[in-house]
Amino acid sequence: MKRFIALVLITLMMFGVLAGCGAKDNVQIDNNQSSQGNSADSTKKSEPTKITLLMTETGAEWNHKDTPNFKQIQKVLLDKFNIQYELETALGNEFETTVTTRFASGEQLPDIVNYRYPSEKLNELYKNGLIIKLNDLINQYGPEVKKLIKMRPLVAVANGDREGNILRLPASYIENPQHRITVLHVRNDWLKKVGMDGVKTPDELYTAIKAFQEKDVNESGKPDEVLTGFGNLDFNMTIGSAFGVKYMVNAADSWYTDSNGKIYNTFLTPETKQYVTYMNKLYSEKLLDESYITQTGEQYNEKLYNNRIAGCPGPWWDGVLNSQRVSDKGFDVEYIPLIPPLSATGKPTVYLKDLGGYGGYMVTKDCKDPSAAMKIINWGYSLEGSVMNYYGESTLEGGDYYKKTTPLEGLKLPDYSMEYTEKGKAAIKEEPLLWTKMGWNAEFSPKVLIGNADSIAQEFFQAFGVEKCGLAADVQFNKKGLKDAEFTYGIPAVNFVSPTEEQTEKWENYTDLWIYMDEQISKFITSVEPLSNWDEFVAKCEKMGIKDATQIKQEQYDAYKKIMSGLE
Amino acid sequence: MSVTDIKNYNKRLKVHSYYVDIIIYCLIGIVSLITLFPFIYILSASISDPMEVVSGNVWFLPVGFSLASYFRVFTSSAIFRAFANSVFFTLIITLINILNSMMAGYALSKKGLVFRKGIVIFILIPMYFSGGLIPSFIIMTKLGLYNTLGAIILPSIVSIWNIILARTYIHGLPASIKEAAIIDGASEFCVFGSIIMPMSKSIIAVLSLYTALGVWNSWFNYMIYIPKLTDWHPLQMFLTKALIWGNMNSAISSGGNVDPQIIKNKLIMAAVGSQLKYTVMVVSSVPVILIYPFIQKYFIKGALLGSLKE
Amino acid sequence: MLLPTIMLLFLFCYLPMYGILISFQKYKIGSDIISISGNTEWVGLLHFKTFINSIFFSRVFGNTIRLSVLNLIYGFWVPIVFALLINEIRCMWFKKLTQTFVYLPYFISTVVVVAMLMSITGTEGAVNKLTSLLGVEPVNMINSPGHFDVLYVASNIWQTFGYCSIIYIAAMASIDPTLYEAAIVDGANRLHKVIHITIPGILPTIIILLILSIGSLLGSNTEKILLMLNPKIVDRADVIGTYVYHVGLQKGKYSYSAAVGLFTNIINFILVFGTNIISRRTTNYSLW
Repeated sequence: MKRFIALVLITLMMFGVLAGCGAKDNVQIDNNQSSQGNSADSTKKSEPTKITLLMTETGAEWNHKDTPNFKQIQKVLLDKFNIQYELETALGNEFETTVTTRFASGEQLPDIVNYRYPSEKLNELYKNGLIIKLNDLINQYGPEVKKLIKMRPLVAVANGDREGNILRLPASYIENPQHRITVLHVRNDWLKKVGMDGVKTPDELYTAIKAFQEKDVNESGKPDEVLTGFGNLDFNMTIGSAFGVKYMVNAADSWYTDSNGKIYNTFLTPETKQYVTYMNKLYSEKLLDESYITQTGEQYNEKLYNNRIAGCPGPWWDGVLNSQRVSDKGFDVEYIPLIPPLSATGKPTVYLKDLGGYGGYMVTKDCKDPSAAMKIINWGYSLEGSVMNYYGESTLEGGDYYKKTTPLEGLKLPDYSMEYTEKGKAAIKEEPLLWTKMGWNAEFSPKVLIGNADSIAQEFFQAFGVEKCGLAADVQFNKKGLKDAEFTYGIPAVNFVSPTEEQTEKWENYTDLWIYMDEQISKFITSVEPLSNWDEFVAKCEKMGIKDATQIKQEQYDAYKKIMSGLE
Repeated sequence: MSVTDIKNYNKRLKVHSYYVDIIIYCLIGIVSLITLFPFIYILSASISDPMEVVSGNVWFLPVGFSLASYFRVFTSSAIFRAFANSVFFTLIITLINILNSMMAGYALSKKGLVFRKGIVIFILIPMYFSGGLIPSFIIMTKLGLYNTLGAIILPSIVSIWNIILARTYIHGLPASIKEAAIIDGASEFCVFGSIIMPMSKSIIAVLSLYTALGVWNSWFNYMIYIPKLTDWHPLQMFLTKALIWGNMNSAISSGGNVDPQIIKNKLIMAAVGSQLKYTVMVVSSVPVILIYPFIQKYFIKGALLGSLKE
Repeated sequence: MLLPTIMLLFLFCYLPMYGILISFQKYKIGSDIISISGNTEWVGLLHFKTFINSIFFSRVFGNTIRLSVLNLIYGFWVPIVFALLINEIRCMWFKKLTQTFVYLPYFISTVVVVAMLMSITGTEGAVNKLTSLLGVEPVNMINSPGHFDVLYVASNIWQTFGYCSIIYIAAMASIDPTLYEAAIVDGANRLHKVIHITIPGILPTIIILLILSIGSLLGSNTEKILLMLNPKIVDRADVIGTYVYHVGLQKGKYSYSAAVGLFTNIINFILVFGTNIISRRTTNYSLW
């Protein structure tokens, strides 16, 4: 009996503690809220305005809000605008759930949300009064934003609705192509071993890898040298481009225009069939890694370190990194990029990822002081903000760790292309964790960096050495391929205005179609579905309504063109 | 049967059992070895040379030796706090949950309970139907629990599964004892506290283990309901992060710099990063494994033994 | 004594249940689920019809049931047998040690289990090394449609049997020891004791767990399948959970995914009630 009484007492105490905890936290939050309210009313100098940003935690082992980079940004914003800038984060995989739940509840929303909603969802949020339009704020508090929109009007159109309301501003508007170009890296030392001098066409690639396996260039005793990667997307951009396959991402987003301005889905073209046939040939002859669609980073590394990867598509710096990584294991390794990507016609094509995928900043209805939110966004777009956010801490104090780059001869670099100073190099050698203090991909505040083809040329030459790049494909890519990209950047992405409500509703019916198309392409490549069924595949897509879907996209594209022509 | 008969019988039984015992021991031994494999693997991976781990050379025993990732885990003061949080929530929630489950189970096991059938259905329906996350979140904010610890603790007090198991167990206890106590004039609470609870040690141990494990491994609710109270986030949040981190291949961006030494440093850091998930897994499972032997005795003791030998 | 339970269930389970209504609407983020102004769009059973008419319906439904049934058939008896074996062991330290070992896999996260599964069953993995001794051509099992069922079920059993056996072991501990003593006196051998005392003793527990697992017949380990899923095995591995994930979360169709969820839960509920009634009629044991 005594024990029972003790138990009851303990429980009661626990409840008491809990109630205490709960109450305390409540009070705290109430205080915060009232202080927020006060400061919005009173003049600036008293209490700082509190602005909270909800963003994704990208799986970093540290909390984003504890990084030196963010703390520096916080300090600058407090000094400059008397704004107390705070972060609220959710873990990467569950971020979508968090954002949707918060918005759906419509209560206690953070002031700014950074999320990549598709444009129809953006409209929904605005129509339901959860986010506010930014036009007036931009006019009053956003000179840098205005500058960007003037330079690149599609920023406003792609993030707004059909009435011209701007609902979101991009988190990163980085036009510098280095971050969007995907190239195919191959083992140059192996090419030499089998007596080949560069690879220019898909057929040469096939011959090369076949020769790698036959001559057992990695001396493993097995034909285990393979082309590998992470899924189809990167291959579409590097090998697919050689067949003239345009902008093939996933079925629901793979739209392109023909010369008459007609929209079509790139999954169903004869070029795609050719490309898929080629990939299937690689796959069935085991030249393409069997697990390339599903492998994890760990499995990839295992192959890399065991000297098995003959080629892999990826961002341009992957080649340098991979060479370095395998060299550490005692192999003599040289990955080189194929620039421009393989070409069937001999005419170089350069494919860039589109700009749409960077998400952006929405200001919510619960934001007590929208002008402060706009000031933060605007500061991010300024040179100071961009560089601080992009290159991390310390750059402002005289470029402690960075200096302005001296360009290679003949190249013209933008002002803020930077590299490490001697001090920076020394620091990073002594303290490897330093690199975690830099900004790069963190989206604390927006950033805009408008680069040019020369800056990627600069980095390329630095990374691979001028000879190697030349070797890969007698490129002069800064003059030809990427130089064009400066003017035609954003291709091959075709831009659209947001769909009407009716279109959104219709669009929902095609979900199964997109899943079916995505699956089918992979099945064709991996021989699950015989290629002889291609025509049936096309017929089934038509039965499921691909034509109507294309029609909807056509209308959105036409509307986009109309708006853009009005702006010019 | 005479006494000698029984003795003879027992002898025969023993000889016979000897072979059976060997088979059983062998079987169980093999099964334990198979199940032990991943644990050794994870432990090995966490103390091996990080570069060997990313190369996939570690598959059972450690290759090389490095405590870099442990160093990284334990130099983070946030991890200590998170660890303490996990312990705090696990203890509190388990305690209240078990007390509540046993009370509810006891009440439901009583034949004379009014509306028993209705109450049972009331308790069972939420097992199969829920309104989903969005309405739950709205209710949470309306109750003023959002960003308070109550949002974590209150909903975890009731576990339908525990109530069902507790009810079944209590139902199976000999009715004579309960009735005897009631006849002696004891109140329901008194019967519950002085008779039912002591008799239910083994089920309490099992339910505690289930509940504690569930709480120990949870993190989603913390992220959704108390995003502002980051000081109260549990250890599993770190594990989840480490898992994502370890799987991110693109984590190493060159950032426009190609000095080999710098790249090498980055690669080593990234390798330690992907080793980190094993380390955090070891760190987060050690407490559970350490506690288990202590509660295990309740599983094995015949709980009814004492109370039946009146 | 029931008061806290009823109160909390009402607050945290019954109050949010109005959310089920979005299965019958065209729900958009931010619009009210129960709207006073009447601007919610009611669509009745539209989402349910869409699901049943989907080209993927037969695939996901069939796979879900097949995997659950396989799991039940092969997975249900393993913990029971294991618990019976453990119960026969008299050497205390060995018993404790093995019990600790076998439930370790339960702590390992699904991500790691799948990663290990991939490396063990890969072309270079231990399993293929073994089978190649028997002259079988090595296959990368994770990419092979014929092997998916085995991998899924075996890894499930491996991960959970030790943990599931805890509940049986606890049930065995509560069997009246005098019964065994009496049986010995009556001349029962070990097998007799197991069949006539231990198994009947844990029968209520077995039946409860069976009813509960039949109730989750339409559920499957979505997280695990998502990690294992690839285009080569999609026809065998795509289940309701993964379909809802792709459609509901990735494509943002909240109402539709809620409807699919409700649909499966209704079936589960009917299954549980059915099994419970059958169990009560035939064996006299039931959940409630």
